[in-house]
Amino acid sequence: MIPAFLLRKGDLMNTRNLTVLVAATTATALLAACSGGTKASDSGGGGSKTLTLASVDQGSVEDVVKAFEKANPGVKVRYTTSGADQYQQQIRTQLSSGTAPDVMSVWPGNGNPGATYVLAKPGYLRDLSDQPWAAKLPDAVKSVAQYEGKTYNAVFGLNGIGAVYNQQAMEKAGLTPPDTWKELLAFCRDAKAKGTPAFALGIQDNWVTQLVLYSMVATTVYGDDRDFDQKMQAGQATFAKSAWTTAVDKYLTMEKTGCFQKNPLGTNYEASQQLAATGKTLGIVQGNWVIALLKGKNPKGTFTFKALPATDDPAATLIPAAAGAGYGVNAKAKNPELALKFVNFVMSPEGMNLFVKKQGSLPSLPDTGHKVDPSLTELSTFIQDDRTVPFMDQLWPNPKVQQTMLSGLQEIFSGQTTSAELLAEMDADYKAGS
Amino acid sequence: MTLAPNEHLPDRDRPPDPVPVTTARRDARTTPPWWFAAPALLLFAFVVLVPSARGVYYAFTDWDGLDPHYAFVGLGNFADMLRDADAMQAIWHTLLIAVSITVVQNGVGLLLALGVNTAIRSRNLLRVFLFAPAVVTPIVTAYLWRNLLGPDGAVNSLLGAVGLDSWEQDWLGDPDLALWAVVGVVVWQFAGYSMVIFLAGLQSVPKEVHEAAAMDGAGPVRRFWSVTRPLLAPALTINLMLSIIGGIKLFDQVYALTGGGPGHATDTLSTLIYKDAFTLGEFGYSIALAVVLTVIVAVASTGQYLLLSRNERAAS
Amino acid sequence: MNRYRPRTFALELAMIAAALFVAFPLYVLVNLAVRPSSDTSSPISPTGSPTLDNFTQAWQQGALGGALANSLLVTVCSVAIVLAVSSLAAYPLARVTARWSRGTYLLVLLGLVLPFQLASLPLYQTLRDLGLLGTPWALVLFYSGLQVPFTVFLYVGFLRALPRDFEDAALIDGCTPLQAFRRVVLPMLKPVTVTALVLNTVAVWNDFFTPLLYLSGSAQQTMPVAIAGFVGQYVTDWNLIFAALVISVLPVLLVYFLLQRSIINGFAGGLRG
Repeated sequence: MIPAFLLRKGDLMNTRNLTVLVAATTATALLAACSGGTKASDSGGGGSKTLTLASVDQGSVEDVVKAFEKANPGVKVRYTTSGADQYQQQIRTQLSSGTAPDVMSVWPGNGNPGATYVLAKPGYLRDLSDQPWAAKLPDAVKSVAQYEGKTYNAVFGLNGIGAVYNQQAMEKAGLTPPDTWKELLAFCRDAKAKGTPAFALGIQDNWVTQLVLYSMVATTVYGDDRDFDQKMQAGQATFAKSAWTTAVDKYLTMEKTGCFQKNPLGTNYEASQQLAATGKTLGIVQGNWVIALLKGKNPKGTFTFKALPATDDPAATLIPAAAGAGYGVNAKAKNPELALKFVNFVMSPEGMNLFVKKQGSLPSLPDTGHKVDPSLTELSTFIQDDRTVPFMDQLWPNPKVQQTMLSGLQEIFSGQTTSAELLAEMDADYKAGS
Repeated sequence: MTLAPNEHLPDRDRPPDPVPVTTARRDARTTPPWWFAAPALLLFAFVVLVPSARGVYYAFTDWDGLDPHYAFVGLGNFADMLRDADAMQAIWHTLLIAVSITVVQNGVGLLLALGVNTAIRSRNLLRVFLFAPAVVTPIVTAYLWRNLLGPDGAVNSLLGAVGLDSWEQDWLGDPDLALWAVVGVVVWQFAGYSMVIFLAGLQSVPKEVHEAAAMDGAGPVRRFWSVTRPLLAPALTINLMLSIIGGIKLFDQVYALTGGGPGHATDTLSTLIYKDAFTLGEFGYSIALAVVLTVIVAVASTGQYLLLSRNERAAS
Repeated sequence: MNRYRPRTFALELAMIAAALFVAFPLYVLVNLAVRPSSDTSSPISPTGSPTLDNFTQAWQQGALGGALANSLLVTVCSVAIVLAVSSLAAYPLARVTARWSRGTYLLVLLGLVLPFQLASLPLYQTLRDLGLLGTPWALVLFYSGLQVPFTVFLYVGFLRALPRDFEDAALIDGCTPLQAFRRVVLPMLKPVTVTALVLNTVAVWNDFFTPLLYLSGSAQQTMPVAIAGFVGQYVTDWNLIFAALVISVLPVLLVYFLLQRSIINGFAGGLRG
């Protein structure tokens, strides 16, 4: 029954020690709990001077909160930050249970479980149309910050997707950034021949799979037809029978030409940054936000953002560029005045510049006095010249289309499916509606 | 669910028969009162039973997890599941993972236990080291392995360093390997756990029995089969039950290692439930998947318990 | 079996090889945790100039101190409650043969197969109504109920294999059932209590998804949540992450190595019954 070895003296001693230890830890923990408990209730109080905030802007919102508190003495912001995955779970649970914070991160457009349309439709977001900045948003941003003509999302930053080159590695290889599709493939071959693949690709994290494709789609699909989204919405166009097929083919041609390092499916986002930052590849196809991260890994490096060409006419190249996640106000905010104050601070030159500087993006409003970082000159020029198209998913009717695309691209890379099957599946999900 | 009603236990685990004299007086005076069970039952009902019952309701709705308006759809979600290739694949992966973990983890655990239960000098140290991974947070070991199994990670570096370059693989990026990589990580973490349980069983075999068998000329294999094996039956039952339930419900490791990818190559019911509920906004459907998960766990654990308790009885 | 022969030596070598295989990832973990992020050499080559900077940085940036205190509080309180109520409940469930007892036991065992996803949202709303969301007490309550089935299962199995003569004697001598439980039954349950203690502690300390949901929107975190936050999408310094992983694992491993003998023996002892 009780095994004999348990009855040996030494073991019993140990069991007794264990009991003592447990008792001691219990006492300590309970003490800690009591003191911790009072602290927690302190920060919970504060009445009308306390604002609650949930954010996905890890690493930048902290500074903005600090500046906001400084500008509004006596105000306390209780905020939490989390990754996109966790955040989406948290915010949906909180909204449906009535426990959501006053201000929260909201993605632009549709097609994502935390996006403007998705949250505004059931009435969870407060209408921000009457705020001073709402009318000033550029049209491209308005289309994704609004739902049925009303503005719900304080979008503060713009991001673009393209090639980010490591200048030192480029000089060492004696190569220059390509401007046409033909040059791009030649560039890839030359880079491979020199033993340094052109681009790092970290598609173990499935959101990365879309970036090269979006760059190709921007030029091949929207270059000829800027109204493609309206046609999709009207049911007059499909993925499978559009230039999307060309775009997927070009993506795969890049892979076959050796544009990417080995084993992209086993390489995650972090590892891909490591490759580009340390010059093991000449660059990386990513959003402009990656520049700050690359600099973190290689402070001496110089990194420059360039459009990724998809045709042989450099003037036809377009960049996928769009609003990043902004902030919405809870329709049932406990402290609506302070919530509006915070959102207006984010949209003020001070708040906006703080955010975009830290995130390495561009401000969504003109005339904030923001000085464009030299590495982002090309992106800024493309935006001014209206040579950008929104990220494709922001106008899709449901999150499933994007999820199908992301896992489908992984499956294409691992030979489990074909581009025709993938695009047909995306069409089916698109037609399922919202 | 019938995990351990008394009659399924082997004879020697059953309470000894009461002494006849006291039988008449026992029921009146010595039966512990039912209210002893009340605090545990209340907690259990409050935290598990009632919320689960309320949760099951969503399986019959089309709720997106957000919009206060939703409709009752009857068995619609379950019908959709049959047409959902992702769901069918996830069920298959779940079973594959659970069975492989159960077999490999217990196989390795038993071998380790047999190895440690010998005269080797390092046995106490080994026992401690081999069990250690089991106390580490699974999400932590998964993040660790995610890094180790990368193309330039430690595993490939090690293979390269010992001249096995051709064995280097894209462990988590190759859809044919990723699932087995997940199984490998779980086995790495919990083989020591199984070992300790087996070890307790082995140590309950009296040394004299072994010596007597050896004296009768029985070899080690024969001794294991006829002396050790029957006495391992209870340990085996516990081990199998823990690993089969754990394997079917496995979530943290898959979530942190591959997120279900590449593509859907490692998606299990648990990861699909998570994705459907929070990434795709199909809350009702995800709860329907959770109901299916419940049924699979219940059937598998009851089945293996009945099977093993019959063997256990036959063996003793 | 007890003599040390050449074959035993070969076995010893094989077993040590197995242990090295198990230890290898832990070596890499520590090796990378003490490495400055500028060092990009192979993960298996020993770090040239080890540093503890990652640890201080991880401790501060991850607010790991608070997370550690929360994890400790939640684990200790809920394990204590679960052991108390489950051992008490197991007494009638193991001893009474009436139909209600059988049925109740089966109902409790149902808890072993229910996946947490079913209950998570309704329970979230209940905890909201109780005002416990965002406090560690939500977790204490949750684990106190969640761990009941498994713990009762362990206790009942063990208790059924024990003779009831002692309790009977105590009861006939005029003890109340509660006294009999405290003075006679509980001491006999010691081995399985150690088992349940170890298993519950590990399960509660390591749980990741529950605290994620029930503590979200508050500054309170537990260790696994703080770690997951660290590995968030845009935090990408693996050396720092590994340092955080080491910190999170250290308390558990420390307790484990200090008390390994009683933990392993007790752990298995309870399961044997």
